[in-house]
Amino acid sequence: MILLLPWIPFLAAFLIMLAPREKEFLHKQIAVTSCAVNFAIVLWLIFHFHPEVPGYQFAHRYPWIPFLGIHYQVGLDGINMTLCLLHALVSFTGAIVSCWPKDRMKEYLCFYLILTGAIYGVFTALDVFQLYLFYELTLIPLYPMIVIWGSKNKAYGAMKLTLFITGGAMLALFGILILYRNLGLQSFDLLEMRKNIEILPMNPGTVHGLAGIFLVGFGVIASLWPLHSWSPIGYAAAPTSVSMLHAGVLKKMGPYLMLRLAVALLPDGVHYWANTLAVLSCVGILYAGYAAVKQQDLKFMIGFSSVSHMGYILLAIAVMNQATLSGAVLLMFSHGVMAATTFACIGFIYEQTHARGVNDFGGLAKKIPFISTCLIMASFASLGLPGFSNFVAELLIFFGSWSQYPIIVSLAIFGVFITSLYLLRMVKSVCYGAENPRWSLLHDARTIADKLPFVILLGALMLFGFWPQGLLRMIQPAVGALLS
Amino acid sequence: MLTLAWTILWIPFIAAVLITLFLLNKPRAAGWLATGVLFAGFICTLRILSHAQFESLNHSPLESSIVWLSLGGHGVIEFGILLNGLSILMLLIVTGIGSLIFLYSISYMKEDKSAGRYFACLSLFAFSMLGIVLANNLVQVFIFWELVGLSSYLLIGFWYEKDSAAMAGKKAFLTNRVGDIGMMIGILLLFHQIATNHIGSVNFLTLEGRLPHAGISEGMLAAISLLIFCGVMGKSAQVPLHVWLPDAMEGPTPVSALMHAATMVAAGVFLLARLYFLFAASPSALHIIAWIGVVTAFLAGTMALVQNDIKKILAYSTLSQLGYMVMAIGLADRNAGMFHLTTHAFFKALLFLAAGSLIHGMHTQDIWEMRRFPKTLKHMLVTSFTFLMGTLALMGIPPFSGYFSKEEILSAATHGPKLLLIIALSVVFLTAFYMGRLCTIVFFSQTAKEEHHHAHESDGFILFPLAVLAVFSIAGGYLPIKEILGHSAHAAAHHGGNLLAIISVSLGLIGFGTAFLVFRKAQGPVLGENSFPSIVLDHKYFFDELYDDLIRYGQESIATFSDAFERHVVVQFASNGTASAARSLGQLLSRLQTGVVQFYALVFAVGVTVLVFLLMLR
Repeated sequence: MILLLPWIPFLAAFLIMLAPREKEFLHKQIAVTSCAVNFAIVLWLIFHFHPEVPGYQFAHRYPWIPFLGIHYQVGLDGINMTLCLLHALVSFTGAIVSCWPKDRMKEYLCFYLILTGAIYGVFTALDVFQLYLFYELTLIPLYPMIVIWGSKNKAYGAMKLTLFITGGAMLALFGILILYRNLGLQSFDLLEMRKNIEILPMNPGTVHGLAGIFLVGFGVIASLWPLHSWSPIGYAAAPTSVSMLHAGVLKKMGPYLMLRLAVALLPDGVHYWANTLAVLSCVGILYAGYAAVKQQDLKFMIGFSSVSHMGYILLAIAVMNQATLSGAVLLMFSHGVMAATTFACIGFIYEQTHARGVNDFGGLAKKIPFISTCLIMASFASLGLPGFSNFVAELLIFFGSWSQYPIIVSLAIFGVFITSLYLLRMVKSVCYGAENPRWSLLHDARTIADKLPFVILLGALMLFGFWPQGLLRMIQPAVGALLS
Repeated sequence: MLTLAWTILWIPFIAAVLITLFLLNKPRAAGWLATGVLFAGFICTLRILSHAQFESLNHSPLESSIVWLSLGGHGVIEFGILLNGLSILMLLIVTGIGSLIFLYSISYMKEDKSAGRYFACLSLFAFSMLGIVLANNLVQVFIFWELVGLSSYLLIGFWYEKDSAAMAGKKAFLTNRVGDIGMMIGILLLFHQIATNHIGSVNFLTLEGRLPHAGISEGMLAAISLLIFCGVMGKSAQVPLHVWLPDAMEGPTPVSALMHAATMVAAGVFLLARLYFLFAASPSALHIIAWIGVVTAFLAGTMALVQNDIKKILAYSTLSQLGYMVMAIGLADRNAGMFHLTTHAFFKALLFLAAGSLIHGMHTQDIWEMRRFPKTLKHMLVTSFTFLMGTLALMGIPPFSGYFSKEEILSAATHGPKLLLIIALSVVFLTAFYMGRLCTIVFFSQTAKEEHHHAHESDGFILFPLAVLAVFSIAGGYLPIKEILGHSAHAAAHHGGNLLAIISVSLGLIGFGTAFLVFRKAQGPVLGENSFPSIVLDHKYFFDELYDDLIRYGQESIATFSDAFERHVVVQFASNGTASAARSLGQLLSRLQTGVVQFYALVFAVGVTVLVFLLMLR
């Protein structure tokens, strides 16, 4: 089952390519169905996942390039199981959103499915080479998707996003090669690397250097301050479903790979950089929060907001104990779902109005009650209201980090206040107040297909907000294994 | 008993969900569902009350919980309920007064198209408040604390198409959040200070058990207490976080009644009582709390003097009375604070609901406008009569309920500093004076009336809750509240009671009398507009202006700086700069691309030679 996850979307992309151009409905059907099938597979995997069993489950391993020790190897523990669920949620709803009318639907869906498959590849891979391959593969469809279907300043945004993330990826590749050479293991197998490092520790200088390289390299995609500037403009330029996938899922690859490569393999190195990372993440939380206060464009605001939220995840990685890391994984999930919802709402409005200034609207709560409610709910999730899983994740991070960084945690809590500042301001000027006559033709989500993405995403947030152990029972043992 | 308590907690939530899903367009059904459910909660509470042995319950509370969140090696956070006298008393207030207010709302909101949404929010509000009341640990309190914030945001901003309502909702939520920052930090600090073997706890009973042995320093205890008190200042609107409460009048009037009596503002005082063991351990924190309470009571009392909006007068009066409650707890008399909370819940709910009925009947909130209506007492007999009952209770005139609780508080104040007692007594006068002003202008004004104005009495749904509340405002002082709460170890021995009672009652009567004489014939505000006190009071001691400036010059300039730094340094200089540097380098290198094949061949040959040479050397 797990082996199918990346390949079903690839196959679907191939099928769409073969299908005749006029049959747009068929393209949509193929795209949505393939994502739905993947969603079902992930749910099946979750129901057959045994949290109490240590190690990776559903593991498979096939030799691929034997003379370099490269395998095609997959497996799931609580961490990537959670992220697969996140991706299943976002890619499925994103596929529905992708079907909103646009030019050249066929190509868009092809790219979208390649992106989706590649992300599944990253989250299931256990071989560093294979993992890196999928990681680079995610970048390929992004550029054309933003340049062709994007909006406003899209060439700049796409270029910047691609260059930054490629730069980070190159740095990470460099780190991976050093690691490979230093271990002298002739293998890219994550599990073997881990075992080997436990037996034969590397010299501290190398460990520190490597950890630094990984933290910066993956920090770019995790929008670590001050390497974040691709993110707001990138999201602003991207079409809706790309923003959803990117802010929701792709960005989480950064902290995920930090966990897999830095925290698991080089814990001493991460300790070495912990103070720096904690300070940078705190700066990121406050700085991006304040920058978001000033934004006049909704997508920019949410872009900065996501930079700010990633700060909490990075802070958790800096502290690196069981509470914070499980909080970090839960926040990756929660923030991903929340960001996807928000971008979907903004996208829904933008598709009809081609406006997304904070002050362009007013009174939308009366005009489009369903979408406004979703936007308001997503905002409250984002500002850490109990009932949504974001709150639980932040709580875990605060409780876990307090003894190490009380001042930074206090500032981070203040960061939550800043979040409420700009989000409530946004809600007030977009949804409340008198109706703006300019948008008298705006219509609400009417069909089930229109409403479904929002219901699924917010439902997931609330489910795990009420019942956090549902995810944490998988995450916590995995994090424990990572740290032991 | 615990099953009943779990039921009481969850049924309003289920009602809120059902209304949101199915009854948004059926306001009447939604109203009855919400009211019925909360009333069922009241019946359950009465059942608990009849079975409860308070003696043993206060000694060893009933607890039931599940593990909600595991902190991975640092302990767990539960979701549970804790039943003792304190929570049962609050349950009675929330469900009892709450269901009366819900009932009133059915009639009050019948013309509003969004009444379905209103009742959904109302049920959510009740659920959140019950969650605070029943919670067995601090994090759960925080969770429902935030949910109370959310429901108040939704209800204050209920008529969100009005800009002022949307603003007021936002202001309430944000002001509360400021307090919550402190509260969260306080909880974290407490959790880690109380930890044994790195396993902390937020459970009330565990905390109470561990606190004496934890060896936390006095300074740290004071810090923790005051940080948690920040949250209380937000919810219970103590100076300087009181600014949201008067603005919260933008919501529908029953919401004000709910917030000012049974929920929201009561939450803060309740938390003080719930965590009394923590505050009691730190005398210096208690001292500061008492002073904040009395300052709030006094400032709010003076601000109420110049308000012309009937709801705003009542709002400031709530602030002032909350100050009393906080002061009482700060003076180490928990029971007096809770006693006043209870009686205040009766008469303040009554006053707000009656004010709502007046507004309904006269279509204005301005007391000077209300003055023009002839024979209000006659046309709105029940409303006026109950309003006056509430006023007497608020003034603390015997034998009304407010008299007893206020006496308790004042006699607690005799143990405090002299200045505190004097201020507390002056608030008695202020209370009587602003209520006297209100009543005189609305009911007893002898100025010219406009006969075409005609006030009409409200219907039975509105009058029935008024009548019930009036009965409790009159007789509430005789309720066995002390028995329910149990005699706390710190209850001060009350003495000097008679003299104090005489002083305070006569202060009240003088206050009312003066106001009556001054405003009987007044046509408009008595103080000149430019006189110093009225400038200060009209601007509410400039708190709002101060905060606006703080936001404008503090927050906004940091935001502007971040934004500018982002635009110019991070984007323009660092990333675009790098990009253009790379581009120039590219252009430089592109000159090497001469297009002359011989040149390329030459470079290639040289390169190969050098490489081969280097390899040979190795």
